[in-house]
Amino acid sequence: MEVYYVALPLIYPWKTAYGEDTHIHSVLVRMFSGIHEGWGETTPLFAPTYSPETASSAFFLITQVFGPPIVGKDWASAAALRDYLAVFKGNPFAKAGVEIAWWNLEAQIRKIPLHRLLGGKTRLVEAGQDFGVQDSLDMLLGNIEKAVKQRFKRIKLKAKPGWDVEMLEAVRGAFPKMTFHIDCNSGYTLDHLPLFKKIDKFHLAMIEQPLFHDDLVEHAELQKQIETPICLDESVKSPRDMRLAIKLKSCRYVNIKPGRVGGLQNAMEIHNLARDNGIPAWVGGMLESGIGSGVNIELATLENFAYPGDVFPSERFYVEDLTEPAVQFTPGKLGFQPSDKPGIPYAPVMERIEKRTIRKAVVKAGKRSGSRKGD
Amino acid sequence: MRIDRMEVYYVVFPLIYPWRTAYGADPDVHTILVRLQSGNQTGWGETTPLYAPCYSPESSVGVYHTIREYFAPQIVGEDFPTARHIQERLKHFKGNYFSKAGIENAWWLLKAHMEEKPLHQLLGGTRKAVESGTAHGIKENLDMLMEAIQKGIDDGYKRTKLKFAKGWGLEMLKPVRANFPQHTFHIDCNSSFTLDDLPMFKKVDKLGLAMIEQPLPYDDLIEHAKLQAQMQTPICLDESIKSVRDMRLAIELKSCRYVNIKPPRVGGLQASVDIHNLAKENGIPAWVGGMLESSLGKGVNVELATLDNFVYPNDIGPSSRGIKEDITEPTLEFPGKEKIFKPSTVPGIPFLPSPAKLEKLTRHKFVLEK
Repeated sequence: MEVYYVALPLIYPWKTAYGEDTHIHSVLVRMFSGIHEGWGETTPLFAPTYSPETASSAFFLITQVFGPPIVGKDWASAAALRDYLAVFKGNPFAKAGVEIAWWNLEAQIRKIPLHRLLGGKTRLVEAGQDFGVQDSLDMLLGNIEKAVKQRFKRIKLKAKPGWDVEMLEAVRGAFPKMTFHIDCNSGYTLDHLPLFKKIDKFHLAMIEQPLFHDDLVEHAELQKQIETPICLDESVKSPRDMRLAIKLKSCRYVNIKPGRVGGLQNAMEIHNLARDNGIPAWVGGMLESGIGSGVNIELATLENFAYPGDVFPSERFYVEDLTEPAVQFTPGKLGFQPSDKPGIPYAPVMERIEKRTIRKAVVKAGKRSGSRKGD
Repeated sequence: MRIDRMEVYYVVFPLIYPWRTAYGADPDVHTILVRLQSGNQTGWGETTPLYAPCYSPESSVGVYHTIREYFAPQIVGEDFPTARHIQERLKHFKGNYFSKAGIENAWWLLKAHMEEKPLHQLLGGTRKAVESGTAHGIKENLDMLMEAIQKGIDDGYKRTKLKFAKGWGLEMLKPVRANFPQHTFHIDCNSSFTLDDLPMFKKVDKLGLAMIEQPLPYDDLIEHAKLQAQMQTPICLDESIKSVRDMRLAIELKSCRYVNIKPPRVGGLQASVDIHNLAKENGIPAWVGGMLESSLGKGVNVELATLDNFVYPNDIGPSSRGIKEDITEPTLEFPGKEKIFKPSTVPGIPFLPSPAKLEKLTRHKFVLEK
């Protein structure tokens, strides 16, 4: 197992609660078995502002704690790997890096596209458009106009206190028919209920993650009081969370990101639980390279992914992505055709990875570091 | 106060017996020490998740890098008149309670040194004595456990905590209760059961325990409420309470009737005091838990335990009970025959890292100065 911590420059800096990221910070796991290899990518942000994890905590956990006992052993299924990792609490992104590499490796060994291995259909994966907080309402309206002309099926708008009701009034006024949803990135509390009652009148497709990042209870309270479906993102980190969310009625949509939930096995189980309970899903995305995006496209071919996903062409973020080819829309479509090659079609380019690598480790078989002789 | 300098130490010190965990055994404690400097005053903080993320999602390795890469640059060179200002400064960063606590607890000792007051005075604690309980892990056989329990009782411990796990559950607990019908026991399940184990817990319910600690998953409040509704024995939450918000939800949902408070688990002393107060207002008694920490962390826990709603003997043990080579001078020991500690009579706490021990046991260190 080889692990690369890479920093890949973005075309535009990514604004976060504490400042700006000029690069994405990504952890790549390259797993070998015999003559085959498979790659996994996991991308919490640089700092713990999306979830408690960071690129560096994922790198150190994979290389020093999770990795050594995995190398040199036989892993017949992703579920077996997940069960081994279950003694370690939380850290779904770190676990996902390893688990996704296993899936791509398995796809290489069996010479089938990843989506076939996951049980998906070979169908076009539709992409949505999204817009962050802009300098002015006019700029936002201009951008939406463009996206509507391009015929995107849905537009996601970032919302935060101060950029919500007024913004939505203007947007809904200008585009009465378009499908919109807002993403709140857990920026609100239950005290904002009157505000959500107002937002409820804009006929949004959904309100994504309005409340606290690991909450299910208060989301259920909010969902009870508004018509617009709540979609959970950060709050669903495992099949267990999904099961509880269903029981408590915390959401009517779910966004699934393999990194956030500990890998593809959990992503599929959450997808199935949601499907069996009438909750449609869609695939979200982190700031990831073509390796991660390629995996998301494969996952999104499962039947219950019924809403356009947050999957984007490479050129939206990067001058030069890590893969060849780069991720591009299927000609004439606003979406992506899944892989027709073993695994995913976006192959990592070693020179580019080496150029962007900040830390690298080769994980050898053995005990985790920190144990002593005789342990 | 302006933080002029931060030093962070990754220190490894040996235990007498290895600490068994889900993934193996730790022969050493991997602890993170934070030293803050303001003018000519200093304050130390200790934070000790396990080496690997087996108690919570945090690990010693993770904490060291999180403080170094993300938190230290937010703190050094800035002014923090209160601990709440530190909380506010770090609030955009999710989770990472242990990392936050390392910094915040150092701030409290710095403040105590500046004001020349014992730490418990700053925290509002009034108890003159802090009671210590004893705890027993999984033993090779029941006879060894009975012997250990008897010895603890003879030594004067008023309550005994027993680790409770699959294969070391009712089969252990029933004979223990039969042998010691009057003694105060509670069990600590370390989140290793699920609601499917309800019939088993119904049997535990008949054994007159003081409480059942953290029976269900480490981040759960909802299923604990379900379990509590069906049990007489109080549930005590440990891992599940990471913040004031968690405590508020636990009260609302009726997830527990006791709470164990560990400063590093909840992000520091400010949150510990706030959780203590919230529990008190809602009739939920508390006690202070402990991680595998040096006498620095233990000393802070003693000060915290002087608050009035800490009414059950705490998981604060003397250094010599488990640590082969502690890092402070002096180390925490019982002052007399009784199993009680006395709060500090010097500014802050009396247990500070010894330079010689730091020299010997530090594995990584970084300094940030502005």
